[in-house]
Amino acid sequence: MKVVLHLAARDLGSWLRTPTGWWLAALVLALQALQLHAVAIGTERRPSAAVLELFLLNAAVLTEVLVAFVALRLPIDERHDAGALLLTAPVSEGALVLGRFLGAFGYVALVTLLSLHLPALILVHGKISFGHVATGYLGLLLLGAASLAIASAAAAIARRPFGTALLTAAILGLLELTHRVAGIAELEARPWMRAIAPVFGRFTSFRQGLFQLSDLVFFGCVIYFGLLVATRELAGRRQA
Amino acid sequence: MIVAENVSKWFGAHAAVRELTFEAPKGALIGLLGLNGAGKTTTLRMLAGLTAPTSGRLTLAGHEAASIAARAVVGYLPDRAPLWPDMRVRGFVTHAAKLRGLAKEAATKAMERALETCGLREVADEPLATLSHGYRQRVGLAQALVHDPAVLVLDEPIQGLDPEQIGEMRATLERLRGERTIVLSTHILGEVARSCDHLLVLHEGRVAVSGAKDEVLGEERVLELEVRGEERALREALAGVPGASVSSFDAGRARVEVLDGASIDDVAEQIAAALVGAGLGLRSMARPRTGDLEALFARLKRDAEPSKEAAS
Repeated sequence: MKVVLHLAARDLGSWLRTPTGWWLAALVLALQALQLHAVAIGTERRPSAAVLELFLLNAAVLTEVLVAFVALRLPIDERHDAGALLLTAPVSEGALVLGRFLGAFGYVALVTLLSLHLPALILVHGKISFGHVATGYLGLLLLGAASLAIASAAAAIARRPFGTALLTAAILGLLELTHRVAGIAELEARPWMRAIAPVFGRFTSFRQGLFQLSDLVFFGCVIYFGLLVATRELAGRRQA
Repeated sequence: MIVAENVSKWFGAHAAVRELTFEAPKGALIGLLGLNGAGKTTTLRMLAGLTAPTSGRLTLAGHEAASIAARAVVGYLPDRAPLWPDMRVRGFVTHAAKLRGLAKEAATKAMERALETCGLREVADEPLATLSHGYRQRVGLAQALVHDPAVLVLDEPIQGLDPEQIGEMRATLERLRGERTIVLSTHILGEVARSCDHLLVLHEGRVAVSGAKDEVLGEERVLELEVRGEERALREALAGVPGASVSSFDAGRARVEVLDGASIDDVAEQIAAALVGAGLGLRSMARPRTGDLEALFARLKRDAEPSKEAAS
């Protein structure tokens, strides 16, 4: 476990040491603020809870975009950076994948939590509950973690940074698209479509301020299977 | 220390390494040689634990290659030093030590020792991104040996270094020998002839030649001298050197055979002393060696060409 935490701390430190990490955080936070004012608040009169819900929905999309960029640093390849050091260290593939995942999640969580002042503005000027904000942010963190687990699997398959980012964006984009289509599809088709687009579907209750244990378990499963695929792929590469 | 028994590595239908068998004793510095595509890189990757053999048995200090236990006793420097450019030298080498399971204090001590060994003290607080190629190679070596591994695997460690840096790297490798087994791959034959005591020459995935360097090269027990003086005076001066016999002399150039049982280095020292004592000028003394390695490669290349033609 020590090695996992050490790996995670190094990767998180890397995001905080490099200008890329700060530029990316600044860009995401600026877009969060912009979407709050331009889209969520907008020109129409809406109840505060609806504004928060819309804000969380757009924040979720931005989280996915952030994950696609963060995925650039997830591959463990012997020809890239210190990949050879990681792969020749006496550490299991599971520990390598988990360490990198936690480092990336630390960064995504930090950027997500740095936007907490935006719902606080709604809280000051409107009527929303702390519980709604807390549930929404828990949902954002779980969505970020699940997306990163998918990105970890993509990194193990694609191996190269840009390939990983593209594959991650393609998978997350497809899930998002399916979810959106499910929203406008015929009622009979919705359950089926929502079943194959569960990542965003499961976020719906969080943005509405509803916490369901089944959603938590679902995100936990996505994270587990994403990391499992990444671990197996990495271990298989050593035997190939 | 390293034992390979019929090790093969297949990538689909292509065998990169076939039935590789060799033993490397503790403290040996082995030169891994071969033409492009001979299987050197695959062999190094198997030794480093990056890939497991398809068949056969490869052990390092008694542990199966590519296992976690084997990776704990190996240090690996690939042809391009594995670095995190955003880190500083001190932090990176400590990070490598912790990855190898060293606790915080032990990692700090190991880092200090590795920086000292690799001559990195003066750049210890520099960011890796700003270092020259030579320093990056040294940092790569430092991360490979920070956990005091029993086996060091080095892929082209002197590639791209200037003559001064090559000298420093050579001195570092010399210091690292002893308890460690070092496997060194390089295209620079002179480097192998100078540094290594064992050779493992691969050809088309198989071992072409392996063993102690002197045996492999069939080292000529000869010293070539360039002296100022007559042949008779030279023969008289060397008559008192046991184990030395002048075989030819032409225009100041002499070939001196070193008889079996005598140490070439000892005879060379005694020849120098005898010539100085006789008042003859010794302009140069050399042992022909590298030429033999080049001849070996020329033969391998010649052998490879007919098989390529047959394949096409």
